[in-house]
Amino acid sequence: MTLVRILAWRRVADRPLRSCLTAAGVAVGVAFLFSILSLNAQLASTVSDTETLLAGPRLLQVTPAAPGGLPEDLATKLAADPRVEAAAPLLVTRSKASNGDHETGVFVLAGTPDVANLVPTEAIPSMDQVQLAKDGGDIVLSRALAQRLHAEPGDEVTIHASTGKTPLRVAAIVSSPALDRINGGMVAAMPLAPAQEVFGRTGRVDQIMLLAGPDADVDALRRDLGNAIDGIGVVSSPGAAASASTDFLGIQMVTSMVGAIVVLAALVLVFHTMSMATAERRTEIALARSLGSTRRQLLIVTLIEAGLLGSAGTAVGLLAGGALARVVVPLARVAYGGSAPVDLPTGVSFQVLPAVVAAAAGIGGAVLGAVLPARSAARAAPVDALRPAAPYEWRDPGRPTRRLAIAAVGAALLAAGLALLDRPVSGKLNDPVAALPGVAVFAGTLILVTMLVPFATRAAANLLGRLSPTTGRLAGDAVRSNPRRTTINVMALLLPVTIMITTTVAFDGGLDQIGRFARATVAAPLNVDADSYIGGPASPVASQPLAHAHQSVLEAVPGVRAVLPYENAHIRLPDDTQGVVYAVPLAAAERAGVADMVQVARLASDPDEFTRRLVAGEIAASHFAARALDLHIGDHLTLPTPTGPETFTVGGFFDDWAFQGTFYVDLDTYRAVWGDAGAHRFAIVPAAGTSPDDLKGRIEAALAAAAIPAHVITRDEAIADLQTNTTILLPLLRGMTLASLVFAVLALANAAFTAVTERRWLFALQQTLGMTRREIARSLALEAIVVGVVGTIGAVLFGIWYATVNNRFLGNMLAITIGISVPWTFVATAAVLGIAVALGATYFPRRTAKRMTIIESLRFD
Amino acid sequence: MSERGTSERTMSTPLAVEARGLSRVYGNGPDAVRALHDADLTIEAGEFVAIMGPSGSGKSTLLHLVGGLDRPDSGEVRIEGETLAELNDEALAHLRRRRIGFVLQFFNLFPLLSARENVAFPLLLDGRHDALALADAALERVGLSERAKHRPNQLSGGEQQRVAVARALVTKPAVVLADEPTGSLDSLAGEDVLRLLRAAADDGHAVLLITHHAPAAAYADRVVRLRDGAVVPSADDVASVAG
Amino acid sequence: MSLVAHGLLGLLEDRPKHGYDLRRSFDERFAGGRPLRSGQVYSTLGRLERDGRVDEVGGEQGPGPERHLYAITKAGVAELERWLSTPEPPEPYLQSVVFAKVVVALSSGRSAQAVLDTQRDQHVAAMRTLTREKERADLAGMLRADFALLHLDADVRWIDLTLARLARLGKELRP
Repeated sequence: MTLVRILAWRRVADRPLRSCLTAAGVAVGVAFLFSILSLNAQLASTVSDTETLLAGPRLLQVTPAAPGGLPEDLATKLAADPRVEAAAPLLVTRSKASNGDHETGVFVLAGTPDVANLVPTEAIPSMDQVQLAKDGGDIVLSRALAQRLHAEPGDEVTIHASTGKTPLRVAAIVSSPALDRINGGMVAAMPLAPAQEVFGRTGRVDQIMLLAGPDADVDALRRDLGNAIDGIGVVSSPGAAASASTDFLGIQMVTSMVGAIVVLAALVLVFHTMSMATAERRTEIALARSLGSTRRQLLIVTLIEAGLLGSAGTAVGLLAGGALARVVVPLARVAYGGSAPVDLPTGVSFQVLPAVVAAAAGIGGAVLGAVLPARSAARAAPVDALRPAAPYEWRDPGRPTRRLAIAAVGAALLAAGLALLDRPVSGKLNDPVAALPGVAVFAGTLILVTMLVPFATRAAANLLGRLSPTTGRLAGDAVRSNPRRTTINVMALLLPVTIMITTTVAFDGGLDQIGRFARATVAAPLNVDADSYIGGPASPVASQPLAHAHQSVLEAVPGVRAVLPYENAHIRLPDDTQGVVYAVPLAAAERAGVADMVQVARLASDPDEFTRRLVAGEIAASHFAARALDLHIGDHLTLPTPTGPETFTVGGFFDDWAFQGTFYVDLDTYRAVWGDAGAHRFAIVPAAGTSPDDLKGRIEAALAAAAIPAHVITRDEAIADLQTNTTILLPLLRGMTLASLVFAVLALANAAFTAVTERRWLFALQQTLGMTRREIARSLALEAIVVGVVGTIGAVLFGIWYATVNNRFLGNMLAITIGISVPWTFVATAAVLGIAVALGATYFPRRTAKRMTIIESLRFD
Repeated sequence: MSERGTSERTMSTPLAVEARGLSRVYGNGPDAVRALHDADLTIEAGEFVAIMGPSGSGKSTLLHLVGGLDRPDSGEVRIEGETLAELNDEALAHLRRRRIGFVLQFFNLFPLLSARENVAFPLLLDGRHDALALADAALERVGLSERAKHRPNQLSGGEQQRVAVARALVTKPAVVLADEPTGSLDSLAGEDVLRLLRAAADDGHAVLLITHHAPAAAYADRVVRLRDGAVVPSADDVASVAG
Repeated sequence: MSLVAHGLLGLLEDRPKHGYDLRRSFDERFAGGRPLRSGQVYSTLGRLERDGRVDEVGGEQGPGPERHLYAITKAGVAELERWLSTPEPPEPYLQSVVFAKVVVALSSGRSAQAVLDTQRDQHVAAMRTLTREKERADLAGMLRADFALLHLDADVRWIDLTLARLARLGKELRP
């Protein structure tokens, strides 16, 4: 249909500013969505790559139940099971490597030639990716590591291990995409036997990888082997663990949430501009209807128009999104690289599916946002629209019963969401049902806020009229004259500001809680951590724990009053999930007279009772574990240990920020039951009057002298490390929510431009009757301020409210209480920013209004 | 006039417009406004009828009902024998584009379309390939060939209304409905429009003109007066001046 | 001086004319369907000649003035210019007969609306006739028709206004 095409094109071309605004809205939305989807797709493909690398779901991993590893011959024993096709022992450890002045952390993998049986051939670097030394050597370096160390094949590099510094000859340098993903590409490989020697682990390995036969029931095999080696090792499925990893899901959840918000904001913008365009074209639509256009024909015009704008916006958005992904993906890697069980992507490649989804969302969103208002306009009787009234005054006659029904739906959603918020949950982040109450509360609140906005704006307009009977009165009338449009304006501002405030308030509440955990678990001013210890809930166990002998080295350092060892161990829980046992030196601290240097009891509701019962050999469970295993004080809990099943009495509960079952036992109990004298951390209690800085230097010297693979961190550094995982995502989130303010700017600017164009005649009349240009500009500014103030106040209330809901929801998952913390300076900044956005977005429209010539405008029809 | 109509009209040719007992009430309850009450109106092909009456007398309502823009509360409208009440929304739209021509006082043209595109509009709605050629011919008849490519804002008020008349006639409709087409024009420009309407009637179109301006109504063959939503009976209705 | 006298002076300003031609031109230009009696023309010409505003300048001598040739004098031109430049006193009671009928109807309790409706139909019918004629007329005829139409329109508006006033009065009187 040529006519339809002509009209659609002309509409786009006739109002270039509005067309650009709409397309820009789509572009920003598509850009965000595309980058987020690219990130998630990259993560997902990394997981599947890891699975491929590890031979997929048939692969099982045996992790030692206590630090210090597994006996090497366990591999042979496990391979005896007919369902096991291959088994390979691995030594996996973090260490330091140096070559002259060049030094870096390195991830050392050591195995027997059996490893080749486990890894699919495509994961093995081909010969053209390998650079060999002429006369052999001891260690293979990844290309990235070799470059960092400036090492060539045949050079000697130094590996720092618990036995001291060992020089090793570089046998080969290899490169493969799979290697690049591990530890940022800093990887070295060695044969098992020399590695055991270097790291002082004769007869021990850190992991045993098993490949189940093609027909075996992998899950049954995992359970059977787990039972067989209970207490010695924990059998898990790394592929399944990777895809269900809480960190991975956490990133996906946060980014998907932001993505949904961005799409929502973009949709509001397109709806907003298009409903204004429709109001403006009301007479045009009525005329077309009079002349015999069917509603369908009118809708097709709008559809093509929206399609054009949507396509243009999408094209720009995909380009911008590709660029944005390049920034976001490495940032996510920085955020989670340390603790994620999967190694995150280093870069991003163009992905077809995210591009298709983002493009579909962009064009679909534009079409949806345009068709809804166009439909209502096409439905209006042509007769009403043919009357000569200013289009700005036109509005849909809303039915009050329908509005009541919508309000009832909002209230019902809110009530249902709140009622379900505290119900028992699985504690799994990937449980979509768990998120429903939160979504319901958000949707319900959103609906109710939207319904309340007209009342708030009317009140504000009345107040304005009373404060200033001229410009204020005019601004108030303009705000009141079209409540629907005012509401959309307010919501366009309210939504992004709400998200800004919610994320910050919720995050700050979470950070407070994490800070509480950090201060309780790290009480000593100085701590010596094993280099192989990463920390955090995902990797709580050091692969190369510090030996008991190291403790005496530290105790000999002048100014050290006491050394308190901490140790963690993986454990298989009765519900067949994996958990962690924290061994904490409560009794040791009492004996050394430094009881206040161990403060984990502060996480329990009754600290004294907690300490007393743990020292007496009982066990404390996190609230999360207690809920999962249905534990009560005084219950008996039997756990597998290297010395056989051990039955503990449950002596207390405590708070923990982990999506798995965690337990506290006293270090003495742990050493007796687990038979492990190692430690991942020594807390150093300085003698009275010793300067921590001086002491730190002396300890570092002692560590270097004794070649202990460990480093010193202060309490503040340790706390900061624990918080970093959470805080590092905050700038990313803030950036994204801040960017969603772009939508508010675009929407408000468009609204103001339309209002100014539509009211040209009115402004001219007002000037004819003696109003000054400045007064007109001021009344427009007041109008913007009403939108800004109502939007911002609404956003502060909504934002804080939803942060409370969000943290209660998250706390319920973790079985802890997470409060909110309102950073008032930030809230005030956001509020000022919101009003500034409202004023700034309307600056150019106001200038246009000021510069209009009276005669021209009076002639305008 | 009507006597001449009934005597000369063969029974097989239906009336261009036949409206019987039209009533329309806006709103309900105590605020209800009776815009039109039991109004009859017939127009033959080639007849030019003017409707006069003060504001609020129901002139526009009658035009909207006859044009199928609104539906009566009671009574019925037939265009060339076809009953509008039997048509659904889509069929009504098709009838408007093919058999009714509209000329309005305001908002007559699409600002985004050129004069010839505006004229071609009803034909383009039907996807006709000869639309623009027919539009050019129609523009020539109203003397605006050289303004075909101009947008409405580049035309004078009188030119805009002539474009509207060209559009109303381009489909060779059964009836042309004109709602105060000269209301916002000066007398001379208004005369041009009225002459075009007169010529349309002389060419065999039924023309219905709504006006409160007696010199404009004087172009018609017959004047129907409305007062308070009802037709004012006219003793002098038969004073024919035809010929 | 009458409208006829000034009309005749106007016709003579161009060139001298015979009495017969003068009468025909006058009817054509000014009378609008109500031809002058011949006596009126010639008596007026006689008065103009007496007052020195026209001169007899030849033509066939005979009993009647039809064949006499008349020309305007300087005094005649001066009088014409005076007439043209002096506005006519406005006539407040233009349609005095209709007005009188309405007043009589109202004061006697008869329906003034009926009087006005009938009069209005009559006026509109007359306007229709004039419009038809106007469409066939030359420029002068068109101007004359416009003049008549607009005067009739003024009457129609007065009728409409009066009808509206009576309607409002009726609504106010009826509770």
